[in-house]
Amino acid sequence: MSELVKINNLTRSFHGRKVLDGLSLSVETGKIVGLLAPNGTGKTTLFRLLMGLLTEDSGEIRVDGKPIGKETNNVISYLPDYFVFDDFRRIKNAIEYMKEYFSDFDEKRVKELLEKIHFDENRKFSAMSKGEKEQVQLVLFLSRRAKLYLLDEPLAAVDPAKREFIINTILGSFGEENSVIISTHLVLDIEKILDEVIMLKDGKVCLSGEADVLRDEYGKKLNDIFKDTFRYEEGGKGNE
Amino acid sequence: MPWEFKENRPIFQQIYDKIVLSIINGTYPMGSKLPSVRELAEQAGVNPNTMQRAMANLESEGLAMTNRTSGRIVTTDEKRIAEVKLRYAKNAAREYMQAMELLGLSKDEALSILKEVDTK
Repeated sequence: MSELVKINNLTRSFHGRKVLDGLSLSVETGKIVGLLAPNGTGKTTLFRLLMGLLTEDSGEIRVDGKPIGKETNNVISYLPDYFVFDDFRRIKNAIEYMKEYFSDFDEKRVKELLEKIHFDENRKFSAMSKGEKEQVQLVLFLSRRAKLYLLDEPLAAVDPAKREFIINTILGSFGEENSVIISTHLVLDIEKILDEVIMLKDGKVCLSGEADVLRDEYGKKLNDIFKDTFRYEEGGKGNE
Repeated sequence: MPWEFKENRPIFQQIYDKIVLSIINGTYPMGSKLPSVRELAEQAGVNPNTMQRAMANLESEGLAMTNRTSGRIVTTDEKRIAEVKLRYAKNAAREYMQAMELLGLSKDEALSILKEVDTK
């Protein structure tokens, strides 16, 4: 199996604080990986580095064997943890935008998915709740045929009844030829679809492995392993 | 409806158990074609890799085999299915006896309770 993401000794500081401090990890093609850590531990920073939206202080990042740049950006679908479209737009405007900017965008798929959740393309974002907007955004970014999906907290604003749909949509975009990295602190909802887990602490990987192997080893849910790992975080950052 | 899992046990094992039960009780009859990994993963709401691992287990346990032309089929080895059925039955019995032991009941008492209980 080929290595899709390779990160070696990556460091990045903000105002003297090392958010990533010698981080090394790799992700193979054909895997769903959970990047599990409390808020403020560098998950978003890592994604932004992978997209070239930030530059590293030191270390090495390779996606599909290449350094970060236009070529790697074209094969990554990055779902940020905030809403990227203008509120006065309609869903159909966002679809047009995606079509224009991403050659791997699958319009047929997005329309099928929107129909499934009964979203009319003429709806305006300003008339939607935060959760609804995030759901539409997720559907849009998962409708790209990308090699790598980076999903930053895809479940945070979505109510529990809709999480099943989101999880199925993620599984629907996933296959042998791509990988998904999901950053989240809401482990319970997502854990049954993860192949592998990477937990971050102090800017490094503190625990990683195959999900089922960890369950077997600890005799616990990933959610409980996560809680045990971060229970004594200072400043109560490990809230859920 | 996605399948229910207890997330504190490896999920591929739980999937394996469920499919084995379906083979034992005839939901997937002997010699019948099993749905594809992709289909089953979708049904269960799990990662296809996890489903693949459960299927590989099924094959290494001699309960299914991959046929070049017709995909993955349930074994036609009646004896093998009977063996596995007995193993699952013994496990269930063992669990029952252990629960009775915790209640301080003897084996005979446990057996007589078993006969009295109506499972309907």
